[in-house]
Amino acid sequence: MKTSTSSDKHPFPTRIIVIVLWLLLWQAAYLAVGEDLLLASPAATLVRVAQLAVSGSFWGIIVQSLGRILTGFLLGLVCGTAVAFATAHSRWAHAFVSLPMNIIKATPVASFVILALVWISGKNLSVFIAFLMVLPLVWSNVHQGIKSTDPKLLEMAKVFRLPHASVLRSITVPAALPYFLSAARVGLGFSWKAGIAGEVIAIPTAAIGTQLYNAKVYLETVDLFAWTAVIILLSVLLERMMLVGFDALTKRLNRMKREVRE
Amino acid sequence: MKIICRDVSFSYGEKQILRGLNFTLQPGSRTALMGPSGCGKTTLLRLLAGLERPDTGSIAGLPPEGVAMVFQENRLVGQLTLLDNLSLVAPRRPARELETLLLELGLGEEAGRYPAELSGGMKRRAAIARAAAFQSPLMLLDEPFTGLDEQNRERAARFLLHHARGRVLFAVTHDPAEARLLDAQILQMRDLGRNDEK
Repeated sequence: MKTSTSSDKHPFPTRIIVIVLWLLLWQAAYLAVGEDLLLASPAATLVRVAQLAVSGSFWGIIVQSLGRILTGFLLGLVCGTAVAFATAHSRWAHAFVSLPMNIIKATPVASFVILALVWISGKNLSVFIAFLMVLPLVWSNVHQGIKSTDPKLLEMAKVFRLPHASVLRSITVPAALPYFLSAARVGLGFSWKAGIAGEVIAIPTAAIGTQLYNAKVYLETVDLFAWTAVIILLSVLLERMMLVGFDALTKRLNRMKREVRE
Repeated sequence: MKIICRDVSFSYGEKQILRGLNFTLQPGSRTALMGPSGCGKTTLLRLLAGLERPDTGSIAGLPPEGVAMVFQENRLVGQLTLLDNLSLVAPRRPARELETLLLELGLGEEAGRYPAELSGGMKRRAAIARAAAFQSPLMLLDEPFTGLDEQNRERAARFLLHHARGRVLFAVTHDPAEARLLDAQILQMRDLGRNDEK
């Protein structure tokens, strides 16, 4: 799986200029359309985001949506990784699991949402949807990572009769880790967007998706743009936090290894 | 521990690599196996390491606890430091003992460094230290001195002679000088196959 690397990143001033240019284009489009109902202006959107931020229910809505979607995301990470390790060494097990995983990948989110509404409450639907988005992604990536383990190192482990736990910890997990991190990064974006889409259809109380739905029903275009901006900001923030978290975790593991040695 | 190969044959698919090998490795013996490229020396090492099974015949006396081996490639774990690579195969040995092994091969300063940070010769010495760290009565060496300069070759040979004491040492090499460094009895691959024909 290809993800952006540091070489894809542009210098900070370039990024600022690009953002300003796009905001200007947005403003130009707004002026050209000249109808608030069809297109909100950047300024009105920004003001509305600020108004929402100081309103009583805003942070509660965000915490609840985030909580549900992150729960589904984390469950997907854990289950996807566990299933990948469980099926890595059996062709039959892999074939057995790959069928439902491929079906999940190919099925539109809306189909799952409508089907799942029959089984579970609208409140918990985004947990399920976020879980489904990340499960096959993590499973296939971690499986690929396990398969990429250097066979010569595995032979070395066999000759020296290394215990399974040591092989897992020192050889297999390090080989699979970059694939896991890549899947987690992509999966977070997927599950976040799909979870919100699920909320739009299920309309639970106190949810970002419900706010989007209400904005559409009441033709509050500025609200629609404001909540969309909030979703984008949270998505960027979550990804940054996850990268920082993974980085800190890697450094901590390395430090622990050094401390044990000393 | 005596290792006895009886009438060992091995093929990769249609291609017969080894045919009717018969030999015995006595406890504490040192043997250098020589022969032209592609004659099956590494395949024989893989059989002795338990990585392959003979098509016919048997190999008796292989240690159940595993084999100390220097592979043709270093096969160090990239995510682990040199000391952790040694500790991986010898988790019960104190870190000080493992550090001493690295020190004896001139790697005392590199114990906390990762394989990618080291030269080819350093990695080779680390692979030799790892084999010495693993306490098995059988030590297999596949071209153990590859990439080492004269001084380090002699140092590694002295190290191996010391740490292989009491073990069966079986090395594959192209160079008779390396066999002499290891004070090993030279065996030609072609002679092993003829033993059963005699």
